[in-house]
Amino acid sequence: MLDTLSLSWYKAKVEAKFYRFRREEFQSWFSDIMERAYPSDFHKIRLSKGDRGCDGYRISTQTVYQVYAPRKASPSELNGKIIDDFNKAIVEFEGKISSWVFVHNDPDGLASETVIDTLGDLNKNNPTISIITNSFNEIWDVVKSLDRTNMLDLFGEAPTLLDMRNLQLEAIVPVLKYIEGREVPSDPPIDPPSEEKLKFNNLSNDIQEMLKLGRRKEILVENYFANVLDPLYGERIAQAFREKYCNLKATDLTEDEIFDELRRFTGGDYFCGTKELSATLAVLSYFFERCDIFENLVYQ
Amino acid sequence: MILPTKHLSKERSIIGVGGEVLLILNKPMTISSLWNNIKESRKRIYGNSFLSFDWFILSLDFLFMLNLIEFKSGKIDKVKK
Repeated sequence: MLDTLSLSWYKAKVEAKFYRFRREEFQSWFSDIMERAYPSDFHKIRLSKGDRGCDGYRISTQTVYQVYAPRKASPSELNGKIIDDFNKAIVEFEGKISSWVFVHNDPDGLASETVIDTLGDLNKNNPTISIITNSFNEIWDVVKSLDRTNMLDLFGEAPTLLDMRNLQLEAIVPVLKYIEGREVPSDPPIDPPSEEKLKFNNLSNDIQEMLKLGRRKEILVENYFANVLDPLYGERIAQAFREKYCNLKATDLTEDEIFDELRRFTGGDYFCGTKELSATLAVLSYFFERCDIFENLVYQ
Repeated sequence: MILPTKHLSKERSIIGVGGEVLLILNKPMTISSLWNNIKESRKRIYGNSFLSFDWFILSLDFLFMLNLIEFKSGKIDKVKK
């Protein structure tokens, strides 16, 4: 059973991929999850043009899945796609369709006209078929049900509360070495850390929990910088984080997506051991608290 | 590097090490003596000396630029006011 830290870690990874993947990559990822969750029951449909209104089918529940994750789509394009794919599906699966699920990864949700008019009309006109949408929460529920082997295959290891409790300096060092190597700034900014900084940056509860847990061990990072022979080592690592954060901030990524990119920058996808993964949280928390990454609270 | 920062403590900054040098320099000393003395002092105060020789030399350069120390007859001494 996964503890709260592992769950938060996995949820952040799932969320990052969910909103980052597009088109065939998203469809393939979704199908991979569903095949693992429902082996021999869910079947993905070949990725090609002419998918007959179906990207996946679950035999036991007679559920057709239509996955849609374009780079951009207007509400009218989306509505047209839904109607077109649904009509293809009910022809192709005549007599063998009890549910039709529209899977999307729009972070803003579906437009009201899509929900009320398009999906509403389909529901009204097809009373024998359950027509629903799936987005992040539904996919996360499926992921949570996977066994440990499948979780490891899909998302790798995750640190546990025990790993964090037992974290020692020996795990911090390789993480810092991984991100080493930037010029020392001539005039680094100095701002006091803020108690409200977590909430101010609109980070999800899971990411806030990971940073809070990492904070318990950031003293290891502080002690390492205080005692390493090169006095400028801490500043070099800090500058690497500042530059990375600035570059990410200039894109249209959400705060949670920025955190995921910083997690990967820290070695979150490079290291396999749970000790080192726990160390990445301690390192991230250290730089978060010292205001090298994310926005600082503005006092009026 | 001269001043302390979020990730560079005052005792490891150039100005911090320079201050320690001035405290130790109560008479003219060779560079080797001064180096040994400051290492001993840091071990006593901080439990370790974690000070590299090139960082120690940078602190001497800093004090020299501020006209606080001078190099005479092979020894370093405070500038007499």
